[in-house]
Parts: sequence; C-alpha cells; structure tokens
Amino acid sequence: MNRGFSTIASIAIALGAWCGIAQAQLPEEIAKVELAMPGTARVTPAKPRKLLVFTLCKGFVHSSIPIGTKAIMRMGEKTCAYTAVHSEDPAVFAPESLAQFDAVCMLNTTGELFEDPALKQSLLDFVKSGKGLIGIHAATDCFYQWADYGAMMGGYFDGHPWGARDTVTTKIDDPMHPVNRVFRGQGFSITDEIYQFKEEPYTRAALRVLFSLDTEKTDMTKQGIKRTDGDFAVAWVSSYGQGRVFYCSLGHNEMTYWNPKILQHYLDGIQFALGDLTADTTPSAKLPPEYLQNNAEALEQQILDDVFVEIAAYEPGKDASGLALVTDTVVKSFGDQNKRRALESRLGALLKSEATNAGKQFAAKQLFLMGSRDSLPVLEQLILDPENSDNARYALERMQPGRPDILLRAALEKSEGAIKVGIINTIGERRNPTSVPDISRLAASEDPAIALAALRALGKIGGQGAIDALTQVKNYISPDHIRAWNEAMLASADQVLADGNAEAAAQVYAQMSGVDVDPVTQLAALQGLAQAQGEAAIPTLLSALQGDDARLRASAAQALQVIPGPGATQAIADALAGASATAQPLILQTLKARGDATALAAATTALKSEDAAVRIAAAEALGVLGNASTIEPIAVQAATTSGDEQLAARNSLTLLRGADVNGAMVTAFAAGDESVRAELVQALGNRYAKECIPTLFDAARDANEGVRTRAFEALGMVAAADQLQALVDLAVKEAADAPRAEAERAAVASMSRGGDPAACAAVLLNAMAAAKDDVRAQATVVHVLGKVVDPASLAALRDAAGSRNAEVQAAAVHALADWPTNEPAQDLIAVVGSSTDTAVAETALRGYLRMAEAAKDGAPEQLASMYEAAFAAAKTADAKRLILASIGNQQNGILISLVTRCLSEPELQADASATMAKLQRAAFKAKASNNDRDAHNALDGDVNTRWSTNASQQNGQWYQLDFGWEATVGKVTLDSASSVGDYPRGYEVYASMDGQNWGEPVAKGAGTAALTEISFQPVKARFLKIVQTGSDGLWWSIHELTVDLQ
Amino acid sequence: MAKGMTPQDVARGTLNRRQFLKRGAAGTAAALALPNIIPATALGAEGATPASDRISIGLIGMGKMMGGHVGTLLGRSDCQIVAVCDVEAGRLETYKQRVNEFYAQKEGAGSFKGCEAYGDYRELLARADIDAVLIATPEHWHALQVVDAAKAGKDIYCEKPLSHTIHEARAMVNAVRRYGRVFQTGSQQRSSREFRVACELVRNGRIGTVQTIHVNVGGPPTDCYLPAEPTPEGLNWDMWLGPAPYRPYHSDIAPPVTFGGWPNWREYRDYSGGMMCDWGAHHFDIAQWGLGMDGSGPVEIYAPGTGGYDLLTYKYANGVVMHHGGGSGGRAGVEFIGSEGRVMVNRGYIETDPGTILDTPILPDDIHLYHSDNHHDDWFKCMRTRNKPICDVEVGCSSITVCHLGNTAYRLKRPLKWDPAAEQYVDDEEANRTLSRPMRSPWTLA
Repeated sequence: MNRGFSTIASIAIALGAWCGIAQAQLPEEIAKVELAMPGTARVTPAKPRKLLVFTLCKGFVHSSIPIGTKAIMRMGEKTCAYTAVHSEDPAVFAPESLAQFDAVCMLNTTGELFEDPALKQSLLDFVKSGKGLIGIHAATDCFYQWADYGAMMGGYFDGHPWGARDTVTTKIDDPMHPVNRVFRGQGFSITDEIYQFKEEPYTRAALRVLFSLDTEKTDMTKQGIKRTDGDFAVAWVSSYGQGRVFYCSLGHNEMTYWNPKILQHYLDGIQFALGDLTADTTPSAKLPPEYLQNNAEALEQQILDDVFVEIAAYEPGKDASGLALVTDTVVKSFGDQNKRRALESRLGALLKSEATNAGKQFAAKQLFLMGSRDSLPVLEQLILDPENSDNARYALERMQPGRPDILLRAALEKSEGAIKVGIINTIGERRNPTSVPDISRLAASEDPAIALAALRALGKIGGQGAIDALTQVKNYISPDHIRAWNEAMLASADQVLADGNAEAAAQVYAQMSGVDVDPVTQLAALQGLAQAQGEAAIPTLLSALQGDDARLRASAAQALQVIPGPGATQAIADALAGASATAQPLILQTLKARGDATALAAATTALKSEDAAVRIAAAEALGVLGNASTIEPIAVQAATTSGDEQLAARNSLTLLRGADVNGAMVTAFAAGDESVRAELVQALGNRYAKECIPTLFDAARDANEGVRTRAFEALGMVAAADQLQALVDLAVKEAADAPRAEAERAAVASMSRGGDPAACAAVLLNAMAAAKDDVRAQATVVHVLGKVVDPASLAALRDAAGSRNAEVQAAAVHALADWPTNEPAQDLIAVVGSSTDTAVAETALRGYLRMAEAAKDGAPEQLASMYEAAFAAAKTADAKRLILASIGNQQNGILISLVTRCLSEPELQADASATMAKLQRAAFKAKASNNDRDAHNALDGDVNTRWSTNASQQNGQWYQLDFGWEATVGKVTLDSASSVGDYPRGYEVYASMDGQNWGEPVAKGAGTAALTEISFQPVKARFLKIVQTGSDGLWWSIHELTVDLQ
Repeated sequence: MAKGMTPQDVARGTLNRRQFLKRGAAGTAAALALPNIIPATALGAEGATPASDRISIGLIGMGKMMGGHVGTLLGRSDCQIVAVCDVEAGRLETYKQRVNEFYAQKEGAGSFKGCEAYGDYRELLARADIDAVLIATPEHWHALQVVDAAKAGKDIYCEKPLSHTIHEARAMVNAVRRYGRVFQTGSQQRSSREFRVACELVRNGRIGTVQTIHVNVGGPPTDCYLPAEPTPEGLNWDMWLGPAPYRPYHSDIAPPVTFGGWPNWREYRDYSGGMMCDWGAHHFDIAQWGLGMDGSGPVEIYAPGTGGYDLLTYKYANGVVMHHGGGSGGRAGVEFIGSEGRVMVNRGYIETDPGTILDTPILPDDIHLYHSDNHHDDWFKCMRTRNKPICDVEVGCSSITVCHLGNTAYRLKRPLKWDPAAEQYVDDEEANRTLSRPMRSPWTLA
C-alpha cells in the first residue's frame, strides 16, 4: 500500500518534471516531431500497452532527452500503440510498480543509475518474465558495474569515433526483419553520434543485428576506432528469457527525433518489445547462410506493399521516394513478364481504389510505359470518371492496336463533353483506320468541340478511308468548321501520298486549290500538288507565280523548289524570261535553291535585266549555279555596280565552284579592263587561290592603282613567308599610299604563314639597309618590322625611334607601342618626354600605359614607379588624363596617392575623381554579416545591383570594408536606390587599423531616405564597418557605397 | 578587310588563330542583301494586304527568353510587333505597354497601330494581319502552337528545344511543309561563326575521319514531386499546363514575374526534356551539323553502364561514337575527335589540335555550310526569299530527336536501337511508347 502510494507519487513527480522539460523545448522542434512521427501503429496492440520511459542520468546528460522523451510519449499517444509514463525515480523499478508496464524504455540513461539490488533484480525478472526492454542511444552507457544489465541490453559503449556532427552511412544487415521494415532494405546516411561497443558482451552470436555502419561508405580514419572486425552494429533485437529487447544507438542529436524513418523504426522496435509486433530474434550468427537470398523476393514484395500504400495517399510535396522506387522497379523489370504482370496488377488495384488523384496519375504514367491488356478492365471504368479520364487515356494511348481501340470506341458512346473530346483525341492519336466510322459520325455533332475533335481525328488517321468519310460528312458539318474540314482533307491526302498513291492525293489537292477555298488552304494545296504531281504541277504553280496574289506567288515559289529533276528546272528556267518583274526574283531564288546548273543560261541572261532586284537575285543564283563560263559577266557586274548588287556579284565570284574556275579567272584577268581586273584579283584572294600567286604579283605591278591595291589585298590572303622579300621589294617601290599600305599588310600577313622571326627580321633589316636614302621606304619597312617579334627587329626599331625623320620615327614609335612585351617601355617614355610631335608622344604614351596595365600583377612598387615616370614625362593635361584613365583600369590601392595629387589640379580634378572611385571599387574588399556573397555588389559602380541582408533589419547586422591600405576617411555614403525604404533604421560606423579592434563608433545616427550620408571627424583607418542598429520588417540594402578618402 | 566579304568568310585567311580567337563570336558580319522580293506583309496570312511594308509579328510566351527577342525585334525596322500573348496577365500587360511605348516614341502615335495583348494564343493566331509569330513558351507547348500557327498561315520562329517528343517534332515538320511556312528553330549557335567554322573544318576532313564526339550538356529531366502552392493571381495555371498532366501550381515550375533567373520547368519531365534538350538543342545540334546528319541520326543509343560505356553513348551508322559528356575537359561544349586531329568549340571559343587546322581556309570547292551570322536576320531574309532558314524545322527535328533518344535511354536504362529513316525504335514496343505523350483534354496535336 505504502509502496503503491510511493509509486504513484513518483510518477506524479516524474510527470511534473516532464512538464518542466516540456517548457524548455522549442515549439518548432515539437512541431517537427509531430510532423515526422507515424500516423498509425504498424500493428494494432493486442491490448492497451503501457510503457515506462526512464531518463535518469548519473553521468553525461544529453540535451536531447526532453525532445526524445516527448517524441516517444507522443508517438504512443498518436498511434495508440501504447501509453507512456516518464520517470527519473529508481523506485519506479520496484516489482509492484513495474508490474503495470509492458516494457521499459531506457532513454539516454548514463552512469550507475541505482545500486539497490532488489530494484535491479526486479528489472531482470520483469524482462525475463516476458516483458519488453528498449534501449535508446546511451542505454548502453550505463550500469557498467552491473554485468547482467549489459548482457540483457546486449553491449557496453566503448567510445564514439563518429561524433554528433559526423555523417555516416549504414547498411541494413537484415532487410526482411519487421523492425527494419521502414528502411526498405536501403542503407541510409545519418548525422548522429555513432557508438562503438566493447568486445564483451556485444556479440552477433547473441543478438539479431538489424543494421550497422557501412564501413565502405563511412569515414574509417576517425580517431578512437578500436574494433578490428569492422562490426559496428547500430541496432539489434534479442530475447532475454521470455522477454524481448530492442536497442538502437541512434538518438544523441535532437534532430534524430524528428527523422521520420528513425521514429518509425523506434515505434516498430517498441511494438516488438511490447509484444505486439512479432519478430524473430534468432541471433545473426545462427541464421542460415542462404537467409538473405531466400528472402529477397519476399522483401521486394513487402517493400512494394508498403510503397503502394504510400502512393495511394500521395499528394504533391509528400515524400516521393516510394514513387521513385516504383518508377525504378518498372524500368528494371523490363523483359521479366512475371514481375511486370505483378506490378501491373498492383497499379491496376491502385487505380481502382480510393487513392488520391496524384497517386492515380502516377500509376497511369507507369502504365503508359508498361500497361498491357490486363489493365483494360480498370481503364475502361476510369476513362469515364471525370477526375481520371485523362489518366486513363494517358495509360491507354500508346498501347498496341486492337482491344484498346475497341474500348475507346465503346467509351465514346458513354461519354460527353471534355471526356468525349479527350477520347476522340486519343482515338485520332492512335491512327487506327478501323476507328474512322465511329469518329466520322461525330463530325457533324452539335457540340462544336466534339465536331472539331472528330474532324481533327479523321485528319490524323488519314488515308483514303478518312478522305471518303470526310467527303461523306461534308454537307452535314457546320459552316464554321470548313477550315477544320479542309485541314483534315489535306492531312489525309498527305498520308495517302506518303503511302504511295500520288494520284488519289493529287485529286484532293486539286480540289483544295480551287478558288472557292480559303487562301491558306489554297496555298497548302499548292505544296501538295507539287509533291504529288511533280513536273505536271509546274504549269499550275507557274501560273500562281505570275498571279496577283503575293501570298500565292510566294507559296508557288516554295512549292517549285521541291519538284525534282532537271526537266523541272528547265521548265522553271524557261518561264523566267517571260515572267513579271515581281516573279522573276522569286524564280531565281527557286532556281538557286534547286542548285541545278540546267538553269545557268537563264540566270546569266537575267543578269542583264532592267530590274535591280532581278539582277541581284541572278547574281546570287549564279554563285551556286555558275561555273568558269560565268566569270566574265559576273565580274563585269561586280565592276560596274554598287551596293547590294555589287556585293551579290562579288560573293558569287568567290563561291563559284569548279577546278577550272581559278585558271579561268587568270585568263579573264589578262583580257579584262582595269575594273574587271581589280574584281578578279580580289576574287582570287577570297578564293585562297595560292596557285595564282604569280598572277597576283603581276597584278601588284599593274599600271592601275586600284588593281594594285586589290592585288596586295589578295596577296595578304594567300602569300606565305617565301614571298616576304618580293612583297617588301614591291612595297618600298610602291608610290601610291593605298596600295603601299596594303602591301605592308600583305607582307605582315605573309609572315604568319610559315615565317621564322629571325629569318623575316633578316630580310627586313636588309631592306632597311638598302633603303637608307629613302625615308619613305624606311618607314614602310619599319611598319612591317614592327610585327616581327625578334631581338634584332626590336633593336632596329629602337634605332628608328631615334630617327631624325618624322615619318620613320612615327612608324617606329607605333611599332614599339604595339610591341607585345614590356621591353620598349623605357624607350616609349623617353619619347613621351622628348618628342615635340604631340601625336607621336601620345602614341608612345598609350603604348607605355598599355604595358603598365599588362604589368598589373607584378610588384606594386614597380607599378607605382611606372606611373610616377609617366606623370613625370607627361607634358600636357591631356596626357595626364590618359594616365589617370589607365590607373582607373588597375586594381591597386597603391596608386591612390598618385591620383590624390591630381585632385588638386583644377583641370584634372574631374578625371582624378572618377579614377579614384574606380580604383576604390576595385581595390576595396567587402564582407557582411548577411549575404556575404553579394557584398561586392555595393562597390561595383552599378546602381542596379545591390547587397542586401535578405532579412528584416535587426540590430547587429554589419557591412565591412577593407581599403587594402591605410587611408584617412571622413565620409561614407550608402545608397539604397531603387530598394525603396531599405535604408538603415539606425547605424554606427566603426574604424579600425587591423579589422579586430574597433573601439568606439566614429559616427552614429539613423537613415531617413534612400541616400544616407554619414560624415565624421576624419580618422586614419584601413577598415571601416557600418553596423545596422535599428529594426524593421524591411531589409537593409546598399546598392552603392562610396567612401571619401583623403 | 576587302569589301564584299562573302558568306565564306574570307576573313579567316587574314587572321591568325590568336587574332581569330580574340574576335570570337562577333567575327565579321557580312552584310546580307535582302532584296524586297515580295511585299513583306503578304506572305501567307489571310486577309487584306496591310499598308505597311513591314513584317507584322505576334509574340507567344512573354517569359525570360522572350525578353531578348523583344529587344532585338524592336530594334529592327523591317518588322513590327503587333501582338503579345501570355498566360500571366501582369507580364502580358508589361510587354504590351513596353512595345507600345517604344513604337509611340519612335514613330509618333499617328502612324502607330498598337500592340494587342492576348491570354490565348489561338486568338492571336486568328488575326489575319499577323504575318509571323515568335514562340518562346515552355517546350510542352511548342508543337501545339507551331502546328496551329502553320495552319493559320504564319511564318514561325520557335525557340529550342523544338519539341517535347519525337512525334511532335515530326508533326511540326509536316505542318510547316503542308502550309509552306518559313520556320526557324531557335538553335542559334548555327548562326555563330565559331560553330560554323568548327563544323566546316570537320565536314571537310581537316581532322581526318571523325571517330568520336563529346557533347557537354546537362542531364535528363526528373519527375516533379513539388508540393502545391496557391496559384498567384493573374496566372492562368490551367493554360500554363495546357496539354501537360494536371498538377497544382508551384513557384519553382512557373516563378513569379519578379524572378530574374531561368525558371525551373525545364527540369521536369512533364514540361521539358531537361538540360539534355535545353542545351542539347544547341550542342547536339552542332554535333549533328558537324557530322552532316541533318535529316538523319544515330542508330544505337547506350544508357550509361551499358554496351561497355560509362557515359550515355550514341553510335551512328558510319561508326562515329558520340558521348554525352567526357572529352578532354576545358571549355568545349562539343569536341570532335578525328583520325588526324580535334576540334573543340563552344560559345566564343574554338580550338583545334593541332592548332594549324584552324588556319586552313575553306576553298570554293570544299563543303560550305549554310552561312548565317544572325539568326533573326536569316529568318527575316528567308521570309522574303521563301528559302529554308539555317535551322529549318527539319534540322530542328533531327537535332531534338537526338536529345529525346538520349533521354529515353536515360529513362529506360538500357541500350536502344533506332531507325532514323522510319523514326522508330527497332523491335522495341516499350521504347516506341515514349515517341509521343498523351495530352490532357481538350488538347490534341492536329
């Protein structure tokens, strides 16, 4: 009595304690647990069950105990599997107290929990007598001094090589075991503390291990791994006397208690321990070797059982692993008729059941791939169900012909509205000619949607049967559906044609091209006629091409392109001369697209048309149709016209095909006048006519300047380094500017084709020496020499840069300024300082600055000194502006002081400020409390990009700048621009030399508008931090941040 | 540079490889002669000839992709946007206003007719004064809209990926041919110099006999398991889904107008062929071009882990093997490997091994590929000449078929045999079921 009272009291105390614990939990954690726990128990309890949850700790106290206790207790309540009572009072183990329970759960109990031998014996007797014991996580980390406990629980903790933050992968040792059912045989990853067990008493000879670490997929290099047998069991069951023991070492982390799979596993284990879930406890080591293999098939079926239950309740967003598993099973069962039938039967059952629409849609999608006639009975019902008709059609539409067609046609009778339309569509899509009569009956339906669907379906089924049916119904259909009828006829005829009956198709097309037909149908019929009749359609098409209707003209031209054969080409070409000016270009485009040289003569004649559009089209066509014989007229056209026409002719000269074309151009060159010669030379270059280089050199000596210019251009396309000497010889002798410039370019280009720099330099230096009395020739050689990257040529250019002749010097300075390395930098800056020619000085300065920019990754001091030298040499404000612009392209704060000096010069002030801003943006490094990734958006000079907290304004958010060097700062401006209202509700600005020690704020205040300007007593600092101190629902955003550095 | 540079891009001869690379995709655009052969507004649409000489265009699908097209089309003087269509009212109104404001400013209200907005593309197509449409909807809509546009007599620019299934692609070819339409597939890499150069080098044997191709694009689509979200106001979700199986709205599939990135419908099987199609319509398209396989395709497809291949692998009848992924790495979207060298190409990038291959000119008697420097220009030109554009519907059909074949192999996880002429899997009823996709009532492709 007394004891009884004490038990009740202890339970009362325990429950009181529980309430205390409950208050310590976060509501969102409890919500997660509620969401994750199973809705129903795996098995209905044979009778009401009572579970004792014991959480006393004498050692380490797990912070997850409150949420774990909550989870175990709520799970029993929600699923009606058991009623749980929580206690931390050892007295609860007294025999009279224990008697009310069906099982005890040791939840993260640590240390020697109690000493009283009577209580210990009571627990042993309790379990032995046929009751249950459950251990979660630290239930093996207690009672080390009580060996019977260890033997009963199955093991003792021996450290956790994998800590609470480690993620491990498990393997399911016994996929068939009922307590493992939730895992579906699939090992899983989990982040939780993983125990290692002492050598004794843990043994697979006594325990049925459920799952363990997959050592192949888990980090086995962890400190503290002692076991050498690779056996890191995580969960097991065993028998103890008449009783049942379930242990799982997961459960250190809070989040384990809102892991749906683990909660289900716990519940199954508890129901096993309570005596409701029957499960074998034969120790793992004593299972026959073929155990797993023998159960594989049963396992697969069990998994499918579970998964199909899940799918029947599936709604978008729910766990879809079951759906993925079935999808995979369908694919993998390819070729296994038995498996497919079994799957199909499951899918059919699901479609017949009260499953969700989403679940049924999923099933229909599987049947789309694998459904057979077995599914027809269920689909027959489903197709008339408004919610599932689309699903049924999804499953049916791609099935083999035959019974599905009969089913669909039968369903037509019983359906109406959207369902009927869908069925008609599917029948059309299946293209079974036996469906024509049933569909054609609907073409005159009073429901326009049904009538239209029927006409479309007839068009899809096509063939003579559809044509006949359409012809029959024509007089009965609605006038609104004539277009649809026309379309169906055309589509049907297309199919008759594809089936080889051109004559029957042509009849339809002819019928559809009549004047009483709508224009779009008419033009489609023209296409059809061309396909079906071939050459016989040409007169019809040519007459359409000559007609008044532009739309039909275009369509006829298109149709003429597809009629095969030279006879057709000839017929079309013959029509060209007599055609209207509007039709002629179209005919020429047609002939071009046909690509048949039969039309050559006609196209050549058209070159002489009065109409420019015709001439252009003719020239374009000749590029494709033409040959050596066409060169002369096209060249003349190129030579005597301009604009688009000239362009077309030139393109054609380049395109002409034939091995003899280049040779014929050489011949024509000899005979042509100067403008024709120029065109032909140009064409030979465009054609890469290497074999004609001698002719091109002849042309380069032509009396006509234009021809010479074109010849050098052409040589630039084809000449190789072998021709360098010859090109330079001609270049230095060339008197006119234009050809000389081209000759220089050609010489440069020739070197890129097999030129050795030293050899080229030698050729050019010789030429330089030979030209010593001719400054113009020297300048020419220097232009070429500048493109030879060789020490000898660099030396010569340096010499030339000191030339007293302005032309030679300018050429050399240009070459040095373009030099690909930094070697001539000093020469250039010397020119900047000494040259009296401002253009030359500018060229030199630009080259020098380019080299400085190329050196941006070098030593910063060297960079600074390069710009120092530039400022020193620069004589004009313009030059200094160039230098400032160049500095702006650098990303180096060391240049700031140079720019600062310019700020005081009135004429440089604007440029210097702009450069300063660019430099700052590039050189500053930013980071932020929130959304650090976007921090630099506030410094990118683009007011359209921003950094934002991506969260409501809260005190303590910050944005920090590292200038990269020590600076004096007195003002910072934050612009929240288009993010209206995202200005800081409060701010404090801190400055620091090291980014660690910030001291007191240098400014504080609050923003009031998009622009927040913060001025303060200038301080020396390398780091600046703006801390947001207000709070508001809006985010804090900075589109652009500017700092005034002094 | 000489005047009158030709479609054969003589510039290549004057630039060494390094200079060429610097020039990159921009290259030198040869001016295209666009003879105004027929009145632009009378190219096949029903009804009276409008007074204007411009091609009048309707836009369908005003999403992120269309944004770029709108800018391009507004900048052209040879066309006028007269209609926009979307299932989301807000973006529809925004674009209508943007277009109207632009034209009003450019031309003055007097000569400006106005751009109309439509929530249903069929109403837009019913307008007789519209010559051409540009379609940039999600790909499960392409076939329906293209076929309907062809039936309405419109010329068509349709964004890639061309279709959602292989049958759809064929149906699009049939409709475009039946109605004699000019059709441009939005696989605009063919109008980029570097890809044309790469393919011309390959086609002309500069790397010897092609043996292997690596195509680097993302993977196949996945099933969508997203939860339901409330459908935003202004969005006609039923119309967004159209022929696709019904599912409740989720913002990942069809993000709100304010979302700046690429929407994720392209990840999900019901609306898209995943990155295999989204990017495959670019890079597999280039592989097909380089092989000269337009109008045809591979004959065997191996899912990863089958046929001795770790990667999804295609085989062509001529023995060429094409892998999805792999290759020498780096920047190549497509890598052609031949008996005598390699060509690696991607946007703004081309490289050959050996490097000298890139400097070999394409001579007049070599194979010349269709030259287009601008995908829009090419479409407009062809609307006038009635010739086939560079990415004619048949080209798009062949290329997207390659992508769909790969997706089916990924889905069925086994080797497949394909008959490119019959457009059927060989003796494979299950695979042949994937050739089309049933549509939700009342939608049907006809």
